[in-house]
Amino acid sequence: MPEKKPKPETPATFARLPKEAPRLGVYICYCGGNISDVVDCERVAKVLGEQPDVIVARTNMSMCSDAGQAMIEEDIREHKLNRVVIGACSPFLHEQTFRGTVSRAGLNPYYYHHVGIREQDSWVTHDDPEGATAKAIRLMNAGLAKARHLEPLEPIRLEAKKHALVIGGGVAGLRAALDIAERGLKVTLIEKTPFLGGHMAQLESVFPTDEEARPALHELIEKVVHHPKVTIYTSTVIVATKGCVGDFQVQLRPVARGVRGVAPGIQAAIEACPVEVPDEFNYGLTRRKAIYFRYPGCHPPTAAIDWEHCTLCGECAKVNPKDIRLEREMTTFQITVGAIVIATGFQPYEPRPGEYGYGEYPEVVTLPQFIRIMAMAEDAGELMWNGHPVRQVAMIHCVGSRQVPGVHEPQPDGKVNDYCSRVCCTATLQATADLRRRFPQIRIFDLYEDIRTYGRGHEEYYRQASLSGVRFLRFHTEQGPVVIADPTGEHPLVVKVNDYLTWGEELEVPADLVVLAVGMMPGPIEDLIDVLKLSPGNDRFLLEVHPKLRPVETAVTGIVLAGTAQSPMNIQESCAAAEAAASKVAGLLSQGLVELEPFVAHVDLGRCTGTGACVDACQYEGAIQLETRVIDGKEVQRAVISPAICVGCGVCVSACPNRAIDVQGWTLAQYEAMVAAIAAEIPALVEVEA
Amino acid sequence: MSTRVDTSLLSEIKQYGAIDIEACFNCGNCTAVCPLTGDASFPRRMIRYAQIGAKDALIGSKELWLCYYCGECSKTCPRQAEPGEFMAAARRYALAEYDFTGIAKAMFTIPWFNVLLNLLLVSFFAVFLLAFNQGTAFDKLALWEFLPEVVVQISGIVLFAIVALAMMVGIARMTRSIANAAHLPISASARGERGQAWCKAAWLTVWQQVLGHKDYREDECEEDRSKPWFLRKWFRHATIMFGFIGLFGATALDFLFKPLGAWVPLYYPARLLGTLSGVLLMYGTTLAMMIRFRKQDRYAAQSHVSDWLLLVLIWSVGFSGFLLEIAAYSRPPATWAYPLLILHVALVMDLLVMLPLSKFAHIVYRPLAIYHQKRGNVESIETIPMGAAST
Repeated sequence: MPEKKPKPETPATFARLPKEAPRLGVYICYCGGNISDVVDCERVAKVLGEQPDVIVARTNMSMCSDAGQAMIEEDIREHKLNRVVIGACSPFLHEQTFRGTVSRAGLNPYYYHHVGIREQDSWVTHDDPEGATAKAIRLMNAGLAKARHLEPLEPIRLEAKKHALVIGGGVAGLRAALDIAERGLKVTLIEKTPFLGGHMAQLESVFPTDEEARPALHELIEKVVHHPKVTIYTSTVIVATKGCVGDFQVQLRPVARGVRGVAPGIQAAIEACPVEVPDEFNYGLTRRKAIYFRYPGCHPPTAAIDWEHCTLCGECAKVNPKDIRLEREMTTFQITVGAIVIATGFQPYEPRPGEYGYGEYPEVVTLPQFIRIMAMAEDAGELMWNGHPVRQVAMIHCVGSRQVPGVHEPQPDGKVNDYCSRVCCTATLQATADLRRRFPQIRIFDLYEDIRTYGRGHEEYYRQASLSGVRFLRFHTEQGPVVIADPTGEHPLVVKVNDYLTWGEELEVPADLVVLAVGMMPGPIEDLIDVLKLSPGNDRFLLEVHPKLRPVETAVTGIVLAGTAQSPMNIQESCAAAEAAASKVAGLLSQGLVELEPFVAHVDLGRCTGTGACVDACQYEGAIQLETRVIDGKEVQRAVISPAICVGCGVCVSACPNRAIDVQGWTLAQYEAMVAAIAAEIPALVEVEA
Repeated sequence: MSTRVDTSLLSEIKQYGAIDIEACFNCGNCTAVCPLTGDASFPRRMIRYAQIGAKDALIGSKELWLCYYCGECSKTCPRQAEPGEFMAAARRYALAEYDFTGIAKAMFTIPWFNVLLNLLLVSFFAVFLLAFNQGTAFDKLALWEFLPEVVVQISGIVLFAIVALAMMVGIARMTRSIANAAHLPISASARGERGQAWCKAAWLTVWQQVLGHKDYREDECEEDRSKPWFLRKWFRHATIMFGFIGLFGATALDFLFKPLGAWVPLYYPARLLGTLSGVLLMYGTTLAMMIRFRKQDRYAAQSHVSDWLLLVLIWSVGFSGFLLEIAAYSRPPATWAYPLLILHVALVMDLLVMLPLSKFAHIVYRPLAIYHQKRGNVESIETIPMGAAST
């Protein structure tokens, strides 16, 4: 660390004080009682009204109402206010609202400062009205101090490509692609595998309507495929990106399909293939060739070669030399897009070998496998599995979800899946309903920790399961069920459980099939996370900026999330998230211009000596760089900010030994003034506190 | 030792009238509102036994008989699983299990068999009695010349002996079931403090519960609170019960002190006791039938064929008895009373046969269960923590 120089007598930033004298308007919102029930708003207004530079200080039942905003606008015009401070809810909620208010009255929108006296005061200090009032006065006084130092700012405007990239060809990606395209923007959709549809294609019917999954999915695929604004690349991944919102340069690497067009006679070629591998479409229950269709009627309707398993023996090409070419490599190409939608989806949790007997007994399967078993089973007669008729089925919930450290074995990364996968409860109950409907003689047992059928119509599956005779048993995480071979030999397996509903009594459920309701894990997207600099949460799913108020945006502006890449969701929620992501993208790009908040670093060239400390400290590649300039005939290095890449984190501010950098809108001078004001003695405030 | 889950028990109990019990999701609201479940043992625990197929635990649960079906549980159930109705059905099931003949089971689960068997029995007894008729006098009413009283007495005593024997077998089977059920660590008596002495338990059972209707009175249902005391459920039961006891006493007095076939005036003590008891019996049964017919009170919303059978039978006995009394004291002689006598005695005999086979058996099983509970001193036990593992 370079030694800091002694502080200059006068802070340099004072030079940037506005010339005109501040004329402050102060507004305290009641928030319909949310604030005023605790804070004496009138008193706050009275005390603040006596502070220097304050021209008006007012209260209102609801400052964000039309009347409240009109009052502020009128004050600005009438009293020639040039700074506005509002004490109200969180700035997350209404900062933008009031920027608009100030702007409409002809003032630069950044001449306004928002103080959160609801979340930071009345809600958290509700049992001490006197203290809360004093706190409000102090917070607002700090706001006044900052306001005196506010400067006019302009939003950063960047040209934006009217073109979005959607990563992932599952239901969320397809939905997002269609929505963006319908708003008139160009869309490129890439899918890592050779086929579209994702996990939804592997389902038979979907809750809560029991609608058939594939017809619904195909309807969506048809729309996307035929949309003139959409370009789809299957077997394609991202290898690199550069740039920022509005202008991402993305390198794509496709892999050849190996098969051209509909290719008549392709079935014979598939039959000729000597390689057989587990079919991932049926979760390994069946086998397929190294040249294959995902399922009959899949999209695109062209077979593909599985290069990972293909031995290049050429048998298929002998049958169909016209359409099959055993050449894998294709050249990388680049596209430039304004925004990126991540719809990389999930993968079902794969139980450890031995977890509830999985891998040890062929009668233990996962729920996705069970759905495929049911899909392949014939309705007539009995359900057969592993050579036995199935008479009793046990479903076990929360496998790979809601895990507890010390109870469950961690994943390779050392973490346990402590989250709820949300979808499995209803999916399991829907599967039992299907089983009950088609094979009514089978006795069904449902072992759960909690039943979380939270969505509209989901509880009905739970109720119907009960009514149809499904027997529920409840276990504690610490005492999960144990699957062993049935010692009596009547059934292949027996599930032992300390049933919480029978006062911890150990019960035995004989079973011919044990179904593990496995949870969701994010897809294997480590490379993508690296390339796009995304931030996964502790649960490995991708993180949004704010779970409530900005639920689909990532920390990187212009990159948004859709579907289960973000967290476990059902199809309905995935599509809702995809639509939100699409409207976010459209909002960003449809003007052809991206506006960003001006709260980014700014270099005072008069103070910069080109130490490069800021460049070393910066975490965002390309946000701050040293440039050679000629000053007084000498070549010197000076720091230059790329406002589009800078996120305004302020690390460079603290790294600079010369105090040459400030974050606009949050300058050091403003902070100093706020700190001084927080600690200042206000006679009227002392009275309140006493 | 673990219990193997068996789903068939619940389906079986459903045949006994537990209409919607599969809707139960074990929340325990029924048990929380139950005014009588001192140790939180019912209805939820009973339902769980049925759900997992713990048959021995269920039929060995004296708690089944501690419920008087006020219906509060059924009103509170968030899934409309009718736990009160389940308790009644489980009692029928347990009762059928205590009956070694299998007739009780057939009567509970096959409604037409229930009706047919009773019709056949009444007809059989009527024919049997008619076989002993000594000719009919029409100038006067000479009932005991028509049907010698000694025939009624002897056949009654023989029948009573058979029924008593069957009842003893039932008592033995119930007691054994309660003892066997102790293997589950959830039987209240297994955790109890030292049992009370048997005589104290018996005294509490008979005096406090049977005669005093203590729990029955405390199990007052919401509908009853707005009713005057003489319309309440426990009072209705008390009138039927004391009516029965009174009539039993009057019969015994007649048997001991009255010369065979002798005419006695209305104020003769045994006859007076019989008349008053008959009034009580008629009051109780009529009211009970009206309430079951109106279906307004929750506990009477679902009436099983066995509920009706017992009421109809008792009411018919009482009603035919009163007609006979009217005939006996009317002038000129009411000769229509001859067939009525045959019917009345046949009905009484049928009722006697029904004692171990129908809901009527509760007059033995319920006090027995209460007695076992008193010996286990259940009230002094802390509530068993729900969900506490048994390890």
